[in-house]
Amino acid sequence: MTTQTNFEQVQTELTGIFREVFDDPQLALRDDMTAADVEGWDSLSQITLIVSIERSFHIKLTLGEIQRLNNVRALIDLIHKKVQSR
Amino acid sequence: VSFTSVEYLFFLLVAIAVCSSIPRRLQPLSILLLSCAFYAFWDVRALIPLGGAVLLAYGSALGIEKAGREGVRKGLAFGSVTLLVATLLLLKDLPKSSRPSDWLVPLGISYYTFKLVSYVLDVFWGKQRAERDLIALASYALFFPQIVAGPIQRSADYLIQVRTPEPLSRARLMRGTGRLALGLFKKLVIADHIGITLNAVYGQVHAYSGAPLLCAFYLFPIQLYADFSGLTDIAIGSALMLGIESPENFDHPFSATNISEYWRRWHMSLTTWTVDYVLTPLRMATRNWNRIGLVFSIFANMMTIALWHGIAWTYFSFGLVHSAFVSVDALTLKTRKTFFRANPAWKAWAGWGGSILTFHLVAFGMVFWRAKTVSDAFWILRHMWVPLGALTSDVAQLVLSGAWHSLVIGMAAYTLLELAEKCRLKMPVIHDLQASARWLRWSVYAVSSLALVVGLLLMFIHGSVREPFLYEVF
Repeated sequence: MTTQTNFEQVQTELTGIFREVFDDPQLALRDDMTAADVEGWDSLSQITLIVSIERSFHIKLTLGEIQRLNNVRALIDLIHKKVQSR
Repeated sequence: VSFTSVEYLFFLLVAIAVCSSIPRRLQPLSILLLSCAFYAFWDVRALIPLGGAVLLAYGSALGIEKAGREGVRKGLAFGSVTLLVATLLLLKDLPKSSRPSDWLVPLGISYYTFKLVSYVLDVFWGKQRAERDLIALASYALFFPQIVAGPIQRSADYLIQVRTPEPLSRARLMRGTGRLALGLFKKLVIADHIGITLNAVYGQVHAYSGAPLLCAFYLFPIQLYADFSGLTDIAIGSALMLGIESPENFDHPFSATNISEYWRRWHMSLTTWTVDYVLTPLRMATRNWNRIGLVFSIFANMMTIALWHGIAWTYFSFGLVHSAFVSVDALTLKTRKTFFRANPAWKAWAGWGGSILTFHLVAFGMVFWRAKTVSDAFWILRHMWVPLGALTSDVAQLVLSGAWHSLVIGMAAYTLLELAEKCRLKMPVIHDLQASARWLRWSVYAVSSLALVVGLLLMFIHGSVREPFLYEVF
């Protein structure tokens, strides 16, 4: 992934990660999506998701950043910011 | 003041009258003063350690927000959280004989400590601003409907409501009264009736074998559910009439098809608390340790839930048993998913079978939770198995002893409750009572009023021999 990664690229790659972690090939991300909208998205699978994101985008996320996330859009914004400042 | 006493209902009526007649901006102050008055019934001196905890959380949250350096922020957050938790552990688990005074262990210490810890950490993580209004924060920690046994509400959720209270409408009053009546019904009709037999069995387990122990094994989860969710219903109903929507604590826990789902449906305000402040931070810290990190985090989380009840080998065993159950569930999740995808015919059976298995795992864990000692728990588990013939004679003995009356009343009431709940879920119209047909609305009002009258009558009748709530002691 290039340093000039845009939101669309982040969203596309993130969709692939979500599909793999939650074992759902049809899953489509929406900006306002939360854990309540995805079957199997609980506290434990969330960490699996974070680990996959960190490995895939070569970034490190902190506990405070995770705690402040309130939907998928906030997650995409955070990943985008981290990738840009890498 | 017990939630099932007439004095409490009188106190609540006064509180509702005060809160609905004062200006909105004075709502935090009035709730604080009412909560102090409620507390004073128990022991006014207990307000000293409680006030100290509030001031510590208030000051450290403001400090965290003002501090520029990350080190100072971390020091303030972890310093104050350590102090709050250490005070809880020291005071609560000090043997009664070594306590200088009972008031040093304030009523609801486990609940307000967890509320204040979550407040400090939420400010530290930037999830909410530090509260400037000390009165509002103190009213959050002391809020009297929630101080006895929760639910453990988050500060942001409470503070926004206490600042902008809605006027008390008839709909809110009816919802609150209905919830309170439901709580009284669960406690006085279900829990206390089942409890008569079970308390006798758990009081002297070595005197029993066979059917009474089997009864204790299968019925204690129902007694605890009716007792604790009844207490929560009274708390939620009372808070609702004072303008505060509380979080739910139970969501049909015995319908869970696996043990992890059960923990998402049982004592939810505590389990979501431990997920946010214990499990997630530990999982993040150990995320690259693979399965060991997962099992370690689950163990720490379940132990926090278990030992929050008190430091005792019975609670430790309860935590250990559930750590094992939840770990196996988490480690086999992927395999089960793959199996059910390949064998869809098994999926329907997994629902029923899963619920039955989960109930047995829960009942097994609760034996350790309820027994006086670990050896008592093992006695129950070893001696409840008897041949069918002996079981029939045991049941006959139980019937002859007269103890079956209360069990039948309790279990019939529980069955009624479950049937009513099934109807409620299948009839979405009742979710919006105000918009429903007049006959239906008034039927609900009539049933609620009847339950309240029955509850009140039972409160008067059993006033002198009141059974305390199982969760009041935490």
